Amino acid sequence: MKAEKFRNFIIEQKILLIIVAIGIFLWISSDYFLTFQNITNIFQTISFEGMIVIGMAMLIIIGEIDLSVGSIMAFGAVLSVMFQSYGVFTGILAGITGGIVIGLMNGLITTKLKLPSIAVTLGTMVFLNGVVFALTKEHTIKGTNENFVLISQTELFRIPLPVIVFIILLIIFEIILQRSILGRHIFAIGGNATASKFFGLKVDMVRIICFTITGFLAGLAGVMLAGKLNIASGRIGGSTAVFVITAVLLGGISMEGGEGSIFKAFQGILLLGIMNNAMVIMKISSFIQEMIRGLLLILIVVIDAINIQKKRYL
Amino acid sequence: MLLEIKKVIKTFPGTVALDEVDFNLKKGEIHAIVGENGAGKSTLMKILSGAYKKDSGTIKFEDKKVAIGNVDAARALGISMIYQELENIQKLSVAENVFLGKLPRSRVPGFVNFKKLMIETKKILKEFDIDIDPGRKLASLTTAEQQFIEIIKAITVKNARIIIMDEPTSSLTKKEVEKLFLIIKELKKKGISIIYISHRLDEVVGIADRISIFRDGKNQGVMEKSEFDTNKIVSLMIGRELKAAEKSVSKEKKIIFEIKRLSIRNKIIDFNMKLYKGEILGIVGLMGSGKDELVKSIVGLWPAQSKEIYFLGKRINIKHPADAIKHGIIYLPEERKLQSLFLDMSVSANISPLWLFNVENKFFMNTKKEIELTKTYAKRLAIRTPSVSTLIVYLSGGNQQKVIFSRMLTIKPKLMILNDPTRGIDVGSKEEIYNIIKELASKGVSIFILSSEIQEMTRVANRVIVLSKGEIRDEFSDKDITTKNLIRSAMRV
Amino acid sequence: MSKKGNKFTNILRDQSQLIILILLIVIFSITTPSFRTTGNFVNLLKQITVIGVISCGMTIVVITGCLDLSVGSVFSLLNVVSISFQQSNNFLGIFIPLIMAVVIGFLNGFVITKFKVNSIIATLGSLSFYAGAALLYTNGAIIAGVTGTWYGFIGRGKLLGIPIHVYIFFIIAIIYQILLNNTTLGRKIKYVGTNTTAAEIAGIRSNRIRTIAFIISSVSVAIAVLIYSSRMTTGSPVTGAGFEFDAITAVVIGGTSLAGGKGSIFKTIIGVLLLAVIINALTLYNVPYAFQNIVKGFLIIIAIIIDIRVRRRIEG
Repeated sequence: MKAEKFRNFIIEQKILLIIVAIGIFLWISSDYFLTFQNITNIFQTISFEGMIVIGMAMLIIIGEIDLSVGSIMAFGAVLSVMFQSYGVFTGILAGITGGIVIGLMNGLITTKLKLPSIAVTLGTMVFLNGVVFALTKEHTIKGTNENFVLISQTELFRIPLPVIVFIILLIIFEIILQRSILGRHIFAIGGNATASKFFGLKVDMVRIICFTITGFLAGLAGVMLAGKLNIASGRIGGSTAVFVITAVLLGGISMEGGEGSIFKAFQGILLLGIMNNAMVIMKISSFIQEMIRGLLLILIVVIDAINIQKKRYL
Repeated sequence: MLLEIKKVIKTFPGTVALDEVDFNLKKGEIHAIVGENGAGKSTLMKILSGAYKKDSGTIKFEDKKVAIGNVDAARALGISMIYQELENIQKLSVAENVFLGKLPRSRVPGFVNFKKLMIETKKILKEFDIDIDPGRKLASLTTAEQQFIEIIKAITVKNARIIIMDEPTSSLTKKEVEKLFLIIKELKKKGISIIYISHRLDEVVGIADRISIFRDGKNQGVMEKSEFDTNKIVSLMIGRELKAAEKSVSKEKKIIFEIKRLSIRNKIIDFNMKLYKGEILGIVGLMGSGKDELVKSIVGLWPAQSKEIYFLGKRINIKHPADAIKHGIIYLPEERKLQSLFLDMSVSANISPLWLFNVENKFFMNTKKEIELTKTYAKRLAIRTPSVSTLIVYLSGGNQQKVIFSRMLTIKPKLMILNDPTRGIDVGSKEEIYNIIKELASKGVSIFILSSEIQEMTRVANRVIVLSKGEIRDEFSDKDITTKNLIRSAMRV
Repeated sequence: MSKKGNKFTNILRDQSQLIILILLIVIFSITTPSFRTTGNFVNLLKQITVIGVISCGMTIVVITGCLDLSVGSVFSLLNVVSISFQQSNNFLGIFIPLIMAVVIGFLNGFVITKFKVNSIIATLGSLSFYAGAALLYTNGAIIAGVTGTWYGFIGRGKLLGIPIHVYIFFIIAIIYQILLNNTTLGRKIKYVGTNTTAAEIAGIRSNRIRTIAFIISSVSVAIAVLIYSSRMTTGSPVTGAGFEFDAITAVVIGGTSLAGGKGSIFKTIIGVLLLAVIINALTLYNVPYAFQNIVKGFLIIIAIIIDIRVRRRIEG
């Protein structure tokens, strides 16, 4: 009986264990790995796209997807750079508002016109990409307000603000997902939208909220990303969608929908962050890194599909 | 009288589903409805639960006339229906399923009071003596347990008055059925009325207060508990007993096809069958008998744990319908729109696929030949279509089915497996299809036919196997193929 | 029940893209003098051949109900491979990309069909993989080829004033159209895209058909690379970035349905021309390059909205 329980525990926590395993490997092979600086670096790197992972997790749980998150992030970054001349706060507000508006648009088109979200957000991605390039006139734009970098360079107890924001968002949204009515409805709709509608759940409204939240988070990520060096360009976010979707799936959330948690999504992106860190320490070229990212997405989506198939003929 | 239904009529294009049906229900009564497929039971229940609208007639609820326009209206009256395909959320907990849409709120606005949720669920489960932990994922429960939860969900509605159960025991073991009946009796104690639809006469007789027997869209009679008589019920169900029609049987008794040791997990236990050349073999069985998965697994559309297929004495391997087709074995699925028809394509494109890839089998297509082929078969099977290039979606159900038949005939099959070939087809086309089947058999084609309508078997079959809960229960030949025998066997009377 | 409707309005609806194309050409010809010069038209045709060939391959994939987002990265990869052989062995410069294309298409198709994975996500992964591979191959640099390869005539030659590659594009398109309409393979592709279950029951191995479709798509990319590299002397490892969206836009606005089953190469050519005409007009109006993506994205969304067959079934 004990062996059975142990085995189940390993399967349940496999991602966490992999993270620990890689961590131990890196600790042994590199003096630098377990330093405060390096760990903070890892978190700093993953915190921007990590915010987006929160939204994407909710979308996948409810049975949708958003391919335009990278473009929204770029949009948010560009808007914050453009509007910061009116004040740091205005810049932040501009970026976040841009994200909310696009997210809302994605949600409305998908639900009201009953179109597949993957196709709609594909179109939004291209469209928004064009908007960003148009706004920046294909250059990298630089912000004029030198106070703006405070949002990403400020540190609290030597931890950069983006990391703190990321962790706070993780906690807030996990609580919302697991304990609020909205969160429970997200699971219900993702599990069986027909039954949910039948029992009075506002399916369309919940979907729109999820898209809007994702837009907000992507916009926020863009704002904070711009805050690093106070620059923005259309080249931001090109591989974000792949990265974020991989993180969600890697954490163990199934494309089928109906189950998952923010904590699982966090494990996914932490794993990706550590893997990136490992690849950097091992001096693997960024080109190979991109290849590995692509391969990883394919691998993880295949494993997920196999699991779904297994259940079908019971 | 809680519910009074008088002279309700409901028609669909081509059929009259309900023909001035009367039905009434007392408070706290368990009223069963029995009847063959197509008798109208499901249609009436769909009207009651708000899924359909009646064409005419009156429905009185607590002596007041009501119009049940939609699902919400039915629910407002306290009417819930538990479907055969459970509408629940597998990945959520029992408690969250029971309180779907009515999660108890906590003091913090927008948040759930999980403690209350668990306590309330536990309370209700205890009332019915159901020993399930409310925190368990619904998917981890057995089908029976999930059904019980479905019932619990139905009565947590504020003023649950009527619960409709449609074939609730089709996938339940004997013990689970007993448990279900305890729950139903508890519901009765609470003053909730149950409408119980089932084919299992032995069970129905055990639980019901009254039984209504439906046939041809009418209520043929209501029996009180004291008068229950299974023979009388069966007679009312089938009306005039239909005997086997005259069929030609081929002189040679050559075994063309044999299945041995076919087992499908949870569905079929060690099935064995022989089929002769030119024979029409029927399979009947109620829901849960496994007949559907059985035929699908023969052509490789459903996995079987063990399967031995012999064709003309030699063992053959069928993993995919393409393998079956190579041996001349063709499968006709039960849902044309989803599984047979290429709706956006023309009639000729729907007739030609098998021919194109197995007979003609050339890289370049000869459209002229395809049109010729279409015209030939359209004539032979009397398919009514404006032209060969009309999109098949515009044809009637009967003609669509004839197109699919033509598709199969183009490759001169040796064995045809037909899954409910006349479902949703008008009477005239049904006759035509029976004639086609009989003609094919007389020419030496073997036919394996599944049907949900018992009387079809008397029309066409030489031999009928009755399947029940995954095993062969009975086999009838020639003169013994009567609706009475078949129904009694299928219902385990 | 017969819903034949007015035959004329049916034709109108079916060929609406062609009509819009003609209308746009007429409007732009009237309003913009520089549009209606022969030089402009030939220029237009020149620009569309590369994307045009890729779009033809994409059409086949879309008809089977999938999408291939990897075509842009695969173009980048095959392009640098092809050019890298220009200095040594021209024949290999044609042959090797072709072989690679077959393998890549097979891998895409295999993963998607065998494991029943969403084609958009799987090819998104491929996109990253092959984009990285292209960069790795050239180590991030732009590689040099040579002028005057024996097949340079494809890219640079002319026949009757029209570039050779324009002819090649139309020949490829005609071959694909014949494949789709007049062969059993093409018919199988349509069956699989219209109703996969029915196709399987009719004995069609849909996995094989979809894999073939992906191979056709990748091979189309290889042919497009041939056209492109034959007139280039340098190769950039990111050339193909964004090509996948151009191809999908062309296919979708041409009228081929994303739901699968319906579509034709002819429609895609109209889509390619429509896209080209619109972009051309924008350029002549001095609209910045960046706006082109806005227009493309907008067109994708509009086309999806108009395509009723893509709509989800209504719940409840």
